Amino acid sequence: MATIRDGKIVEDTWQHVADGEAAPEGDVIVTLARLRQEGEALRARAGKLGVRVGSDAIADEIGDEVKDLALVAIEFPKYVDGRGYTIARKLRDRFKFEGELRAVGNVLRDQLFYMHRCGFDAYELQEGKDAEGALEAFQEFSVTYQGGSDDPRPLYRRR
Amino acid sequence: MYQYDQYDQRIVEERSRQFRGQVQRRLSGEILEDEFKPLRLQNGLYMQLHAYMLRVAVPYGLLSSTQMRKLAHIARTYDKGYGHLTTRQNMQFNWPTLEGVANILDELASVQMHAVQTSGNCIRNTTSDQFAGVTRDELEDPRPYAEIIRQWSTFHPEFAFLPRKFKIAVNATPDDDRAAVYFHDIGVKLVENGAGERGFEVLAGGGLGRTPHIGQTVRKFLPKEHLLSYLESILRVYNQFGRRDNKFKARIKILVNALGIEEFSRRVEEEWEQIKDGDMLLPEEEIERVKKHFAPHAYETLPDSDSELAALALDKDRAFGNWVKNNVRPHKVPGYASVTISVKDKEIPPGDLSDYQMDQVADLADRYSFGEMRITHTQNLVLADVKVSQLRELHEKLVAVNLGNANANHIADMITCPGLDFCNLANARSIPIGMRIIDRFDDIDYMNDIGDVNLKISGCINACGHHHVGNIGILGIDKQGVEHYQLMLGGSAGNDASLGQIVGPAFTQDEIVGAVDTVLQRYLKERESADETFIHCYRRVGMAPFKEALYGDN
Amino acid sequence: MPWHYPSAYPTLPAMAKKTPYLVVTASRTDDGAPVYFRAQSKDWSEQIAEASVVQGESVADELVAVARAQERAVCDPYPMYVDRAEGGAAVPVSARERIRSEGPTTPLRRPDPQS
Repeated sequence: MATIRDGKIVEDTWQHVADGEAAPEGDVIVTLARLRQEGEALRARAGKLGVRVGSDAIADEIGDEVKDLALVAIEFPKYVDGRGYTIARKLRDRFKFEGELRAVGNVLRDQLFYMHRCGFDAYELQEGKDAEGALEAFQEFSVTYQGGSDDPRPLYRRR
Repeated sequence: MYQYDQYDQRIVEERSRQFRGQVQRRLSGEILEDEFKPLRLQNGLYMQLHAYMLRVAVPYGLLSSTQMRKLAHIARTYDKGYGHLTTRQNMQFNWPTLEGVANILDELASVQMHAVQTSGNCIRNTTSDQFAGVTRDELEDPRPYAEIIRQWSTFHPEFAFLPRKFKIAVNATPDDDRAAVYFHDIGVKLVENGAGERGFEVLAGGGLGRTPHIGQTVRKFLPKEHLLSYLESILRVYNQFGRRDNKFKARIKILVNALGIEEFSRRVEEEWEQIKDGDMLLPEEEIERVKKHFAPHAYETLPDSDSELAALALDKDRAFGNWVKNNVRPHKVPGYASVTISVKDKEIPPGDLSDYQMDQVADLADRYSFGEMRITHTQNLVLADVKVSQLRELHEKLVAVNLGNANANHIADMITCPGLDFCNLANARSIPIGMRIIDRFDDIDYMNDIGDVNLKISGCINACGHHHVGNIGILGIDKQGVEHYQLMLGGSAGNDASLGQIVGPAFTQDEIVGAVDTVLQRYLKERESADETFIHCYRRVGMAPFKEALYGDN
Repeated sequence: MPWHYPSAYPTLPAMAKKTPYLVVTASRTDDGAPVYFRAQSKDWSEQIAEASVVQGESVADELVAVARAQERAVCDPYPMYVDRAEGGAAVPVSARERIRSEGPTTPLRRPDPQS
């Protein structure tokens, strides 16, 4: 599985940690439930801390809890489940989340451009997919009509 | 009409390139159908029973003659020489190959067209009144707002994977709704408030399908500059809270009804408070920029023609007179009229146009109607700006290409979905039933006697043929492997929106045409006068007389 | 070819949906045409009469699994019930599959007017 960050394939230092599994050294991504239970201890560790939320998370409910973390991973259980786009936009636009916003799960090339526009900057591309090819997705459009988390101005403010 | 600038043009060209790449990945086997399906669906490409089907977007139904000639060329070169008009004012082609579609998109982009979001769980083509800009009964032309919505919704990054498809319609006529705004996921009505300011009433939660609902008002008056932020707020609430566990309960109407309109509106307003004064505010200059594209044509100054039009309807050439009476309506500019070209004929599936006819209509539009035409949601065409003095020669030329039928707004002027002849979802055929009905009522005097009535036929409960809102609706069902048809009465898609009710047990395909006739014969007996249309008569007398006529006393 | 109602109008008869026989069908990727699986040559025919007929749903499912290996060439293979004509060739039983194998029952393109 390749990780893409800021339009490039990168070495990934983050580790996903399952509930019930001891947190290893380094940068870890835990579930929201675990963050709620062990937040203090987790924050006291040496490595960076990230959280993984499901597509059913409501941004308004979790925003304050997660906005200071280094990373929020939003799960796409199926890529046709588009709730993650709204979660991302609201974390970026409303909660001013500045850490890494990472798409995980059924993440495919043809969603990357939309994800990028909604504020994602990192993507765990689904296993077995051509990562080099996927990078082209960021270049496919040079014009957009609406504002997004990448640029809030609609085209009518840029025309 | 709206003309692309460099930005709009770049978007359709880049889209075409992107889709060609997706097609290549599918043909090479890099991606399989599971992964390709949602990609092709975002581009109006369906898999039907016999072939792919490509739906081309025609924003709010408006086409130039150049675009129509391009569609004719596409029909000839990449399909079987015809196209089909749809209820979202689009045109679809039933037989393209996958590689052909990649080429079709390039062809379309060369005339400022595309197939973006004509299917899939995203925001679909925004529709409007087919007489927008020329009708006397509108507050102002709704098309600039439909175009603004089109741009906002095109490749909207947040709303490409909604729970289900999403349809928006805009109208600006207080009394006569031809855009069916009450049956859309969002209906946008241009209105005036008490202070005489223009804005929008915003409706949500209307729709047909398995569980039809009439849209409810989310906000009574929305100032124009907030149009897009308000739409965005509704979509956001829907994207977060719409059901995704059951595709039959995933439309926004289910959410609106589950929450109740008050709670739904509260959530929308709460969302809107957060974004309403941001970058989405629509500047007056942008509205003006888009409006300029819809400026009135260079009409000649002509004397008032209302009485002349009335006289022409009584012309001694009855074919022409009936056509004027049924297919021609007054224009807001003296000396002009708007013509509905009926694409309903017993020899062809309702809404089908051959490449030859497309070329001919394009020529007629150039000659008689400023080079523009419109597709209606009732699967017809409109030439909106014809001089009354030229109606007779236009009619002759339409008759010569089999497009001169005088049946607009009458029983033969139906909506039919493609049904089981083409569609993967259908339970029964629609088109042959429609053609039989057109044939049965192929007598202009009988049709005129029956008067204004609309018939809508769907081949399954997904209701693409809008059967719920037909004055007479027909729903195809599968009864132990045999096509059957339920008859519904009393629906209306207009301002007097109502849902039809099933009369009784379903009919076979051999019975259904006669059943429609039986209903209409009964109407002729029941009506108080020739001025009482079928729907008004039905509302007065109710279901009972019709039920009795169809099924007898039991 | 002009279309004449009603003489040329095909009425699809009622037919039982369940039979012991099945074939595997799919839509061809290149053009969406309905195609039918031939087990021997592991390829697809446009003619339903050339399809391999098997008995029983579990045998059909195995055939679908084989057909699934060809998802570059076809989309969404599925098993469907058929009747057998004399000689054993498959014949569709449902209205849907009959229309799918024979084409639309409606005219496709209006001939141009004679000038």
